[in-house]
Amino acid sequence: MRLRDWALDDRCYAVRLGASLMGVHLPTITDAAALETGPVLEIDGGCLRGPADILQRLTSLPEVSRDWHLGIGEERRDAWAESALEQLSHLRRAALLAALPTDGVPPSVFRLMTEIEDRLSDDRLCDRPWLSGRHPGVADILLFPIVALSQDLEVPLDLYPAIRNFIRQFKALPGFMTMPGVPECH
Amino acid sequence: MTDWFPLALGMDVPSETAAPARLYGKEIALWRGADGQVHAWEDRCPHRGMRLSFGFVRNGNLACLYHGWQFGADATCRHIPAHPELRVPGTIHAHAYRAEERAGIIWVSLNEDASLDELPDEDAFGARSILVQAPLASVRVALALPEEGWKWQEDCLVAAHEPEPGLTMLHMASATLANRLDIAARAKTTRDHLEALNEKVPA
Amino acid sequence: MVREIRLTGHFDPEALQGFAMARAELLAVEITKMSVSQSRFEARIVGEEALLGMFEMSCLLGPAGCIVTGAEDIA
Repeated sequence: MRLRDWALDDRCYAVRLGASLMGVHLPTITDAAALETGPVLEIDGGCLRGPADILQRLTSLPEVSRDWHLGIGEERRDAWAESALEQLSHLRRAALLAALPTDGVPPSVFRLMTEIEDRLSDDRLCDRPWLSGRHPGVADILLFPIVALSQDLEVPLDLYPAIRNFIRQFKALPGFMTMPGVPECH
Repeated sequence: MTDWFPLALGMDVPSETAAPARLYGKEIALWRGADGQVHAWEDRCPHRGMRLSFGFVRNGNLACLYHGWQFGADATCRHIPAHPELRVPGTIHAHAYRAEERAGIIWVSLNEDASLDELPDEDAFGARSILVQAPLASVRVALALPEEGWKWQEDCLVAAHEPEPGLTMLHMASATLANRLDIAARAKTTRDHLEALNEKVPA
Repeated sequence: MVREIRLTGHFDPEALQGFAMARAELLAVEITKMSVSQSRFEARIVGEEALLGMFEMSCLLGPAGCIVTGAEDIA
């Protein structure tokens, strides 16, 4: 098993982060193509693409705790979180590769952050600490790079208290790891 | 004129954490010690200007993320890690504002003489601080809020502040714990309505 | 402890003087003598050794528009 990885890509980070949190040893090989395609997991003689599918595959490995699976009756939000990560990834690449600095936060970023904030805020009032329910799951791992790296798009986090709360509790998880642009927890 | 501004819900600044806030562009660090007390300081370390809201709370002090200078509840510097032997002079301090927690909301005044009488004295439970992409003045008009200060609308306390021109943070607290979800839903409807209205206003 | 420091470079004298005085007050450092020109800043400073070091370091960075090219102890 091996990850075709680009260290600065947000979707690749989601997979490395997930492996670290789940206690999976995941060797990586640097592959510049991953900046475009996102992470690719070489496994069982084949290739698996898409951060959500890869993370779900990791949760099924024998060494991974059942806690990373959804509880009975819990809503699956992986597809929503993956689509949000794709959006952020696209916007972030556009901002980081732009020839000239852009002025202000683009409206599409505000829309994305609002959607995430609404969901986290409602969850909190319903005593649902994680997107995935009582324990963090694949959807939470996909969400973290979005909200943490939103700083690359200069999103002011004072406007999003539920997102701040999510970032704080996520960073306290055992096995949490950073990437450039995501500061260490203290 | 009111001196108190609602900057956040109390629940959004948990014990032993720091959070950023802005008031008309002025950056303010909110933080809460283990004793539950909330503090509001200028969001700038007097050492190198780093934002203190990036810092962390340890032993009742707020520590700057940059070089770890620690400031106590009275805002004076207590410890400089690079000079552990140094008795830190009282002249080194963060700039503190007044902070009060009432009705589930953290209120901050830049005026030291602000009267507490302006603040709500009923109990309430924070439901939602929500971003509305519209200027505060038009939000106040649309919600029939007074020109300044806050208002009870039935079982919901409504207050607002402007982090930067054109953006409003609407803070809503519920008179009862059970009603918070309803009020949070009302906050979202209100936001969507206000943003739709704002888009219709020609720039 | 007493030190006398000299910085050379390109200064906005008024800005640097105001900055030095504010920094000294913050750090409980006493400036007993100071002269500032467009190319030279000299000060005799009294205080705790560590705080004098911090004062010097902040003057080396200086306010906007001031560029330090040299620094030395003159006493």
